[in-house]
Amino acid sequence: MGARVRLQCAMLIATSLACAGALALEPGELAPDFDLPLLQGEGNRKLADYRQDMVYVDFWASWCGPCRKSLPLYEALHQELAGQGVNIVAINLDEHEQDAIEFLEQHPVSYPVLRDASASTPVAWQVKAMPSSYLLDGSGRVVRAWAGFESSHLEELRDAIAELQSP
Amino acid sequence: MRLLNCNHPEAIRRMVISLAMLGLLVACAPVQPWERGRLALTRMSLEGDALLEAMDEHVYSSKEAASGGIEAAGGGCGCN
Amino acid sequence: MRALLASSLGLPGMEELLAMEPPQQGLAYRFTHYDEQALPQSQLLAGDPDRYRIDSHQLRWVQNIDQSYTLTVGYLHEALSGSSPWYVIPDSEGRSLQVMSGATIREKRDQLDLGLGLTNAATRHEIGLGYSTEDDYEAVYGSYSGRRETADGLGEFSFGLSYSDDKVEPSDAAEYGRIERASREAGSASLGFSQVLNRNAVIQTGLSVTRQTGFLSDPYKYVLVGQSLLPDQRPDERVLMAFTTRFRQYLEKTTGAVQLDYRYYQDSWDIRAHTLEAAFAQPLGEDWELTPGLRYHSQNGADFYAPYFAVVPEHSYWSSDYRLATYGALSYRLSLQWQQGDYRLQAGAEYYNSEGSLALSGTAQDTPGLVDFWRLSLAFSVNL
Repeated sequence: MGARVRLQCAMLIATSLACAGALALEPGELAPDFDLPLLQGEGNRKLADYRQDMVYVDFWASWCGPCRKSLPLYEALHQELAGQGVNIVAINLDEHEQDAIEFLEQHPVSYPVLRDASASTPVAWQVKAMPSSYLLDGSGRVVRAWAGFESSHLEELRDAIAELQSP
Repeated sequence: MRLLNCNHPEAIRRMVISLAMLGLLVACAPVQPWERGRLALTRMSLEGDALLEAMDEHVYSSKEAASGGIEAAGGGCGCN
Repeated sequence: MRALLASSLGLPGMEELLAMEPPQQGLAYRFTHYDEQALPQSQLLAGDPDRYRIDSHQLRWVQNIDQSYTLTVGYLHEALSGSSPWYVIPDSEGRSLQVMSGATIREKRDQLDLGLGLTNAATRHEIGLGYSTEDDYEAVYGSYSGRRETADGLGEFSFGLSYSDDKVEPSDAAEYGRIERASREAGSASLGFSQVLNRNAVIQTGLSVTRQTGFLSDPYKYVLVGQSLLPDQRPDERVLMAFTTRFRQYLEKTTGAVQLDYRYYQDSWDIRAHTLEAAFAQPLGEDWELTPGLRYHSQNGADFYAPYFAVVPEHSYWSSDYRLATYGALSYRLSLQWQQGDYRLQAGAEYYNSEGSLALSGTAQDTPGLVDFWRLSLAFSVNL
């Protein structure tokens, strides 16, 4: 019994190590659709709602340090890009939505924050790190993906958006 | 003076048994990146409060014979 | 468009997938009051029975600079007063009685620690430098530590090195026939590994080895050897090893966490010790957390320890320092924490009791100097 459990553990560690090499949602791929409720407020949003425009999708949670750092910076970017046809949508993955709500009370954002209680969206998008974010073009295809967050990502995001906007 | 006796059978046997027992009690399972919220809680932290850990190590290593642990030893004091 | 696709994270390397989080910035302060119980009259032969009382202030500041660098500054100030064990004499019935130092010592110690860290995608490096100074003792030390996450981000390897160089200049050396000045050095290396077992549990295991050389005796202690009172005399080398395992388990039912730490210690002075710490951190409502805990420590004494020596021992090392004896110690701890947003307040208490009879194994000798103490602390921290 002991040996079997130890073997199972070893196999799980081995497979997760192997799986780490598996690719996340790749540029050029169509991002899977989602239909999620707003964290605060009534109604749902679907990925399809953002067709024709660029959309930046950010998976985050209140317990993740880099996520906490990124939200105010995304809010600033959102204000900056108002009216330029770039949408920012955040998908919160906290286990308890109260934690996310309390965090947003301290650091409010004006772009939509959706809630995925069942975590089916990060599974479909093959999220490998927290936070993870994806820039999609007007046809719903992934242009660029980021795993984790560093302040340099904002520059890279601005550059990627500028490139998409130029004819 | 006798050097470090790493072949002390009693000690090694105890170490191996405690690790094996822990392995049996707890199931391994793959953890998705978004499932690490509980592990991020301060009460789940392996290191704990830095100042408390430093003071604990200081107090116990000056009042007992043993010292050291997961990190290599740090400062020194005359503590007697 | 094509340029973008090419430059994107199309095929991320193992390292780029994960982000080792930089340390949380902040400022923390902790005050500790440490109070040893007076030596019972029945165990006292002469001297002041009122033992140590120490008030400590600790300050720590962590600041991230740039994208990847972190600066850490730590400062400790402590004020100490009280008497300490000097030597042991048997009474007419052979029971050991402790002689304490006469005058109350009054001392201050200051310590400064500086650290510089570098955080990359999956690794963190840190170098540290420290300095401690008090009336009769000065220490300079440096360290390096590195950690690396495994590819799946669930495991982490850690490695550390440290070195310290201390000088002791005992007070009143001429008056008491103490050594005037001496030095000691210590070098140590450590290796560790932590693994997330499942979403509710994590385990860490580590090994550290240290080698101390130089003057390792206590310049303020004496030993009765035969008919003479001789200065504490220990070997000039000590190699020690500590093996530690830590375990944390989240309990869904109460959202509390079980915290278990075990350390096995062994050194070249023939001392072996087991230390087990167990605590349960239970949240109460939104912002409060109560953590009761226990700590049990048991050690087998050094082969050159005895309260006193009837005859001169063969190996010509001797010490009556209770800290090298065979004994066990149990401490009861309680901590209460309030946390809201970036602010945290914590109050803690500990009562520590050591007895020869609490030792797991080995023959406990009559050790009158074993200490009991209270420790109370208050801490405040803010995330920046």
